[in-house]
Amino acid sequence: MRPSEDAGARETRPLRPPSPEPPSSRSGRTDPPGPNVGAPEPGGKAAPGPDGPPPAPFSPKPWPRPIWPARPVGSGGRAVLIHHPDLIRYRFHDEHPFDQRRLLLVLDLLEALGLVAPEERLAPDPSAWDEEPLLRVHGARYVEAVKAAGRGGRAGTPPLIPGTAGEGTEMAGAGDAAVDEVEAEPHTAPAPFSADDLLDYGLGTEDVPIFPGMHEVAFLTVVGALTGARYIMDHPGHHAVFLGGGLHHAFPHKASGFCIYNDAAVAIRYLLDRYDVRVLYIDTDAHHGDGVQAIFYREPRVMTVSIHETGRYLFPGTGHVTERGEGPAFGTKVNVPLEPFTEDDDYLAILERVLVAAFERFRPDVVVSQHGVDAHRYDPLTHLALSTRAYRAIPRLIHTLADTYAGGRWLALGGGGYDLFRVVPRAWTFLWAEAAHRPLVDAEVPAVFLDRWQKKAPVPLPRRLLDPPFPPIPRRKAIREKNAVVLKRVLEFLR
Amino acid sequence: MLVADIMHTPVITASRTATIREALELLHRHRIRHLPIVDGEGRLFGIVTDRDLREAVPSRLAVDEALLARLAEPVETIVRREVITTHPGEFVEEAAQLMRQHKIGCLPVIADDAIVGIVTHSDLLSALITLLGVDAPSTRLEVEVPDRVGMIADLTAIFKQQGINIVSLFVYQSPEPGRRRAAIRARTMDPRRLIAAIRAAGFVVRWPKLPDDRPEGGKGPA
Repeated sequence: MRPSEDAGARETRPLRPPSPEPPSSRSGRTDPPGPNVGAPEPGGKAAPGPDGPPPAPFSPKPWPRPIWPARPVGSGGRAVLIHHPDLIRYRFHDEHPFDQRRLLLVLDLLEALGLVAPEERLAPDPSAWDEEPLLRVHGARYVEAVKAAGRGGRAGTPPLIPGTAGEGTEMAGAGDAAVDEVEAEPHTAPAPFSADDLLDYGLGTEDVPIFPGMHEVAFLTVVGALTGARYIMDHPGHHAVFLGGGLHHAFPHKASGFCIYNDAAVAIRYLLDRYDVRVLYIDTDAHHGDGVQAIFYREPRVMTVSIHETGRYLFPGTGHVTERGEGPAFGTKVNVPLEPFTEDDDYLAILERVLVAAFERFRPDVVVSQHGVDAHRYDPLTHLALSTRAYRAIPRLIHTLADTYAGGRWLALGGGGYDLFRVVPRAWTFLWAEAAHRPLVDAEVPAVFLDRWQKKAPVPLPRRLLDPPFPPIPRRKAIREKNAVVLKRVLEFLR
Repeated sequence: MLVADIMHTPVITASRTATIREALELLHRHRIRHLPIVDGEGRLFGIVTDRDLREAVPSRLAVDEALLARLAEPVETIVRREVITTHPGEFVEEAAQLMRQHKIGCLPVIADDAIVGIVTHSDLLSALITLLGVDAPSTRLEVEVPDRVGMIADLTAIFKQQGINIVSLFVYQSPEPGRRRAAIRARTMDPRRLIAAIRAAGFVVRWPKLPDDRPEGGKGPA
């Protein structure tokens, strides 16, 4: 493991660089109401994020705010691939579909293709981060429950990874109350959790079984996303890819859908708190990004765009076009539910129209994207019918838009993906290649990769990155028609 | 689900001595279309709708003495006395039947001679969403079961044995005679083992399909 770049760069930086005149393209927009700092947010039973109303670390600024310096389109800034070897401990049991050992396959394929330079690797360092950013999204009691679950229900023993609790806070003035809570609760008054208590937090369920050290690896995931968020702000125009993250189903007080902590939401909250930026979150997982949407449902500085299989049958059931945000954030939450068996062409055409409209309307400073790859035809949990051609095109589209509209500040996260051998490695190879400015058209899967993994795989591994054309879906016309209705409605909302 | 669970309360009402103008203002201010009229003791006297009120008043274009005089008349001159009402303990579906049968848009809710609430079309739509909609992250399964004693018990026992919580369940008639369909929302993202177990018990899972149902592991409507 390389020493973290972050560890060396911990001195306080100015919150925003000297700002140039806003370009004319931005001056004409209608400005939304001021940021909604400190407003309670939905999701979870007790509405406010951590405990009580969160403090307001930054005063709302008048619009239009200064923006970050733009970067010429396509200038090829650097990118980093954030990874930590301990991430593969994020697995529940052998029969569980979510298994981060898939990251080993991805890294192996990337290496076999020679796609990652040593200086592009960045390891998150959990000892460099305290829990405060986590507690800005998740309740302190919930975090205690996760810790206790990972220790077998006992409370009060020190964390396995030293330095993950209570170190000097970096975000001066932010969340002091939450930090005090952490100090007070676990160490002075150990409160054991019964199995029923844990179930109330979604822990020990069929979807999120308990495993030893679950807090530590889930926190490592959060730190990975935070490391990426800080990296893209410290290195204007550079991109960060963290395939271990994107666990978008977790709620402030509840684990759900294989997700313990919502690293995407923690990273976005950190970007809001520390940099006061406008964040566009793009979620192309086949499942609705319900946790992230709920956490920022009343936050006008965050637009979420989720394109997913309709929730009529599929988990989590939400993500209807009518879910549009609340209060000052009404209109900043965008949902594109697609018919089962939607294929590449239809999907990509819809995604492009929606994203262009979303960028035009919202004008983000930063892009955070979630790249679940479970909409592939092979994925066992969903019913969308994409091929890796879509997974080549999605990052390219987001990359172009992030460069054009957001000065290249782009953090790409992983997400779902349950065909571990055939889909995940190839799809995320396309993602990294795009972010690293070495886009791939197609390539043979190297023999060294096949030799190593074919004997472990239950199915024949594909020989090329790009899938050959699949036979067309029989009801294609009807599927297209229904998707067109959804698209029309979404575009009307974004006008 | 009872009328008491979905009714609007408190109710905006007007006294029978209020003027037509006051009644119109109440409808506008509260953005409602139905105004129960009460007598001096708070008992339901009748009801006026926005249409009754608009029809009672001459066109706004003809601003003249007649219009102003009409607006000043008490609302009891146009009130409908025969009001169809419901009770807080009545079932929601009974209230819906009543409204459909009589082609009316609202039902005042009466208990002990007092008006305690009101149910309108939009309350019934909200109830429909609550009954059939999603309030917890979950997967929906549609299972066809024989219309016989104990079938739902057998079916739900499988969920218990798999350790998967049911967040909602409703059973409705199947187009196939002698069968019923159960629509179940289950708190899991991976229903594969559950579906396999339901099938093994002899039920027909109409949706979702398992990957094995599809040609060459790929997806296609099987």
